[in-house]
Amino acid sequence: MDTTFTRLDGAQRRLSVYWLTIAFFAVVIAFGDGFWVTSVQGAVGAIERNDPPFDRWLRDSTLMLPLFFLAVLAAIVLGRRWFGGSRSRLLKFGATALLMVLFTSALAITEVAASSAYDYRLQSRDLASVHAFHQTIADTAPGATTTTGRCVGICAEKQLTLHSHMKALRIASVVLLLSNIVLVLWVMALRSDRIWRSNQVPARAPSEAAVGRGVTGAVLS
Amino acid sequence: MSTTTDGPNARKVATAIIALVFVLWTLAAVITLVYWSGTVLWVLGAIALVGFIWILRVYLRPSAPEETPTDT
Repeated sequence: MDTTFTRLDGAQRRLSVYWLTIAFFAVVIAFGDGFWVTSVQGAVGAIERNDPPFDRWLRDSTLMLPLFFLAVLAAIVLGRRWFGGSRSRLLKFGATALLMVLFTSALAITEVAASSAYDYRLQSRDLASVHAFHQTIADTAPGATTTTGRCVGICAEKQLTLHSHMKALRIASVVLLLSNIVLVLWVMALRSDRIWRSNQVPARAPSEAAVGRGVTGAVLS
Repeated sequence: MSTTTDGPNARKVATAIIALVFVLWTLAAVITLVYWSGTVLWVLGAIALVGFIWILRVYLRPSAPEETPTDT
């Protein structure tokens, strides 16, 4: 147990990043992207998920917060490893910002896709039940295509639903990417001086070195 | 009464609690995503991945070269 504590503490020190900055990035991006996830769900989502949009936005964004935290942390750690040694400030922070935009956008697009998949499942089930309820002639294979290969009836309805989800996902991906660029640059402008701690020697080291030199001098003299 | 070890211990415990909450929270987020996107896909993907790794381990295992029979 104690080794786990020590390992955790060691990992925290080794990363040497500003946790508050990462949390700030994660909160802004998670709640910003959550707005688009809720919007897509409201526009093409299933009728079963009819909670008030504000509640849904708050709940889903809060739930996804740690994943955004990890995405931002990964971007910062990789950015420091790959571009931290660069003299150009633009390259250093620009590349880190780009990594952050890519990682968080990928995560947000995954979230929209997963939410759409859930909506599509619910909508397909509804379509099947409505179809069964309103049909007077028994359909032996609902959702089947005709002999010419064309999708008709419930199959066509499901296909239309799927197309609307795919279109919404495409539009949402572009919007998420653009809004993440704006959000990341905005937070970067506020906190770019506190992204990662420099790998310089800690302040107490010179005094330790001075003590060491003094001891060595005393021994040699 | 406080001792000199109280500070580091309290820090360790706080770190552990934060880490535990974070792990549980992350798990909840991942499970939500898996549930939304349908578990069948993920289960099939996991089975395919495990199968692929098993095939790699079994069939690409380095083996000693077979000895060729010598006619005497």
